[in-house]
Amino acid sequence: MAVTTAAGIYSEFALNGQHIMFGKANVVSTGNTWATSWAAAGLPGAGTGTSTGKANGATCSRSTAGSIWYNNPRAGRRLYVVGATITGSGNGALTLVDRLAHVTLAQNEATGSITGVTGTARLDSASAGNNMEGGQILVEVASVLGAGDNVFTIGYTNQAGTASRVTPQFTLTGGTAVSRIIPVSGLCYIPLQDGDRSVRSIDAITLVSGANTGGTFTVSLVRPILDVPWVANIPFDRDYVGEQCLLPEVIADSCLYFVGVPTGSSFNPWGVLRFVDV
Amino acid sequence: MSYQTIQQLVNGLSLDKLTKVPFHKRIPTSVPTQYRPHSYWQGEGVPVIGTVPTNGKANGRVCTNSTDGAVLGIPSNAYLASSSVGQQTSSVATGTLMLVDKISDINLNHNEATGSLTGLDATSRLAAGAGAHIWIEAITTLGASSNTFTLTYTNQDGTGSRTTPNIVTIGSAIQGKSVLTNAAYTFAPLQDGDVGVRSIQSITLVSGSSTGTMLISLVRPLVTWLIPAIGYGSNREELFSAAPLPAISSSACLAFLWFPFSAAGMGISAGSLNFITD
Repeated sequence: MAVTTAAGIYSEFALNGQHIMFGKANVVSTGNTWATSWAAAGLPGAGTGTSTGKANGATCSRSTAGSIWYNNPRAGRRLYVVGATITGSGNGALTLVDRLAHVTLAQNEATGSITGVTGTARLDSASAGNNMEGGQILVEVASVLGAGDNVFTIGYTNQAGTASRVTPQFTLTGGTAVSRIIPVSGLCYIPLQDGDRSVRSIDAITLVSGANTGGTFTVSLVRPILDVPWVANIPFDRDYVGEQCLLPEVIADSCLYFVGVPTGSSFNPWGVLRFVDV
Repeated sequence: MSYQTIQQLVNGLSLDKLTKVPFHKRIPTSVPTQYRPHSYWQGEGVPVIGTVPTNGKANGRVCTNSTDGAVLGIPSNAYLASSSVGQQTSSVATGTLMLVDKISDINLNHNEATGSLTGLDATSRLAAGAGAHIWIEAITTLGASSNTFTLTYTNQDGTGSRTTPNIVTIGSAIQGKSVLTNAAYTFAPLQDGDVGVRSIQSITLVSGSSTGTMLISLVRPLVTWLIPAIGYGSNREELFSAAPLPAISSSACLAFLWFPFSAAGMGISAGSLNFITD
């Protein structure tokens, strides 16, 4: 980066810092259950999935409806989150993620290959050793699921570029509402095959059991960027330069949105993110 | 001197260098559009209703602290030390308030014919390498249909002939409301690789003939506050939020933008801007 000191970053922010307002409509969740703001109205507007089907995977960018909009970094610079002020109804924890790619599938999607869900355009090379080689697998309900559970595994290529890796089984619980994230043991992301830490592409899905229909779900490859707790009606200012020494990076063209876990039933984050390119 | 340490700030306070400037403003309409940014410029209060320049491509102007609508009482050689804001009338109206330096503006028709613009220039209050953002609000209610146009501008580095992507307006935008139809935009998007604008040279009408008038402003965001709800204020100490303290030009035309997060009618935003001088 061109600037290597905190004072330099603050000075750059004074020149060309970005104050990015956002606010997403309430996603009714269940207390302590992960949810996504992707399909919620607001600023940015609602995002959608793809056409239903394994062949319809698509990469996402800042121009994808549902992404927070920002200016890409200038040539030769990198973009960082230097601050945030966030609140919402109730309390909880948010994660800002880059939605690298996604595909929408039927509740009883048949076993087969998935096309187009790859994140390599915004990932470092395989085995770069810097935790930027891959993302995580996030499964969210796109349209309310019909009654009855189905069980799946997902095939993927791991951070080292090794294909044919398979997640443990996870359950798509019947009746789950829109924008809920399918948790596994309370976690936001689908666990990976033992020994893997991240994913470069999502390649296949296997229907292990169940034939229940009625809804759809979206499988996304996401890269977590920043974790932010929120407290009802108390807009905490966070300084990621001098206060927390984090400098989370936003790769150019990242498709930004929030996932989160509220302690209560409301999930509607709003506030401002502060970016600068240095 | 610029204030960079708490010791310097305390010393300045002990020498009675603090000036508190109150404000008390509302947006032009009592019912803003949820999730869409609005401007206080044309609203009542303290400061008074802001003026707009004479309609036409040749009538761009630089706005100063003498322009009706600007916050009054800013001392010379000032830095924003702290602030305190809240809203007064609605128990459920929430949103984000942004303080900007409104450097330059121009009053154009919604269906303004392609041509050169004169006077839409922010360089008088921009440091070298700095740029402003493009804020566009309706002056008179726009016609029901949307138009599409682009703006050609000079970027933060002084490079000319830069062109925005298509700017699509939202039909029937009311006075003070952002005209951008893309629900992800607060400010107009820029050519990829740019982070700011120093001046705008021309407008190109791509399509549409819908009527009404719009105010295109070059603004520099300075501070943002989250206003959770009536009874909850928002206080900021700028030294710990964005050190060093933001310098405020003595000719700055300070104005406000409002992002309504709730659907409730907007009350009055009020508060105090606290400046410390050299």
